[in-house]
Amino acid sequence: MIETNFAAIDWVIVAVYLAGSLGMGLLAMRYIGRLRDFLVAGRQVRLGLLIATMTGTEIGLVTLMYAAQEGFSRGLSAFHIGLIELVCYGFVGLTGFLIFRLRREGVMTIPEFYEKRYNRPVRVVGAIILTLGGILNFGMFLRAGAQFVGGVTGTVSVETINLIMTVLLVLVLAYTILGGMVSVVITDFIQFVVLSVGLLVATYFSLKAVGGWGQLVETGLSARGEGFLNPLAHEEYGFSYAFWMVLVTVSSATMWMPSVMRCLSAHNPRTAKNVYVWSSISFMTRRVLPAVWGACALVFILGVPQLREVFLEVPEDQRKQAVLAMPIFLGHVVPTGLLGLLVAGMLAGFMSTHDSYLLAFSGVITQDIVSPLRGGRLSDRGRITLTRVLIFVIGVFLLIWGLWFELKGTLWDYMALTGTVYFAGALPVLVGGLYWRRASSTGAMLALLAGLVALAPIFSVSLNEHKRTIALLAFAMAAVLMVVFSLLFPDRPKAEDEN
Amino acid sequence: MESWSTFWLIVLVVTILAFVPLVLVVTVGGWLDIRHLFRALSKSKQEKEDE
Repeated sequence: MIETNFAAIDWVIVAVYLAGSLGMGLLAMRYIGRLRDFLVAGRQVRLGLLIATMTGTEIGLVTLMYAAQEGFSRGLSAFHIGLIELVCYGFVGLTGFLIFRLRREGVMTIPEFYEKRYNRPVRVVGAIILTLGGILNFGMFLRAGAQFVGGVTGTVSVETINLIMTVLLVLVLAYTILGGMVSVVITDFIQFVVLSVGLLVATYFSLKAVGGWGQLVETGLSARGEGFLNPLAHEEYGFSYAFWMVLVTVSSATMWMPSVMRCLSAHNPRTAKNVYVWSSISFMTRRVLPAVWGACALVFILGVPQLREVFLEVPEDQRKQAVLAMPIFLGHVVPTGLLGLLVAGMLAGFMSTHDSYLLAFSGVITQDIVSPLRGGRLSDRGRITLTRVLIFVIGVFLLIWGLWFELKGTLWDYMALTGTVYFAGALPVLVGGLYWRRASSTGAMLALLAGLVALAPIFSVSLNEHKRTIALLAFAMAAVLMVVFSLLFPDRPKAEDEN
Repeated sequence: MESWSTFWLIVLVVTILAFVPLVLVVTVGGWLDIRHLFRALSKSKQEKEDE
């Protein structure tokens, strides 16, 4: 049992925050009229709120956990992923690559665009793969949240942690089911403010605890070698890894449903572009600051014999998971009171990610799988009801998957792989659909299916060692299949095109 | 190694210096946008009820 500074007052701070957040979320219920109010807040969301909600969603607790784990395991080299995110999101924002045209299409989901451009089967298959990759990706969030709460509070049992996470999930389900996207953007806004303060507080106390930047670098280099600072010298990084990260980041920026729903909620296409430009700073922040905490956690743990033993000295199969290093470290170095505020901020991140993801994926299943299979014969009221039921069902899945599934590698690698299942196919399908007249339904269908290759390393330990190669192969295969089969099997011109 | 250390320190400082003003601007702007959102949705709901 490892004690931390988390005390009764911190629990009170967390409880007050959660109650307030839920109240604000439920307030939004009265504004839901149409389906588009529920899914995309009536397309009335302006720039400031869009940036807040996008940041609130994408700086989730799991993001902070995996970014910190990278810092703990791979040192300050992990910063390079933050630079990649800054450049990629900035590029998408400045050029409008994919998102400008997508917003102009006036669709509510990406698979909806697939039907508009290709045909209904591509929409349904695309939606199934999107949902599969997305929900698998989502599946680890609850466990990561539980690990954070357990680590930072230090003295709570596994059963109590699971109960806390279940309660949190129920709270999120409540306001998301009832208020949809309107609840989501309001609670995300509150969470953005609280979380932003938490990020800066944690960074300050982390660096203070290890004696500053110089000491961090000196100790880190001595413990981890040159790879602590140089990403090109680190065996887990290098050029091919960076290239994979560029593909994943551009794909995520333009096609990851929870982010893209912000774009599709924008007042107009120009606003959608501006969101990405300004949000690129947040995306860099979400990688860099937690990586500092993780690296500082390494230095701190090296100085505490009890922690050094369980994290670094015992045989590898007996070690505490690296992902726990950051929460245990913060639990020791952040003072009581401020720690409660920090945890409230982190739980804010947890909730804001969950509400957006639940809404995004349930919306896709309703709009892009069930409704097309029923020939579009589903009323607005029916769609809202179905979406609400699916939010609940996905929530139950998260509980089960989070308890059962064992990770084969690091948390970030799992995220990148499950993302690749969807991105590998969706990237050429969307790029082809928006920029290439000759992109065909046959090419699109095969490209989407190629992404399933990335499932293999998720479930196999031996294949997990080759995850980078398999992921890049999935992207390459999808692109080739798209081009070759579009040329070999062009679509017949549609009646309206002939007219 | 010294150059990598300096480079990453600059990245960290720039990150914080860019993030703090963004938080302040978005907090104020976001609050105003929430008020606009409620007004627009109320109007839309009223129009739907009138239909």
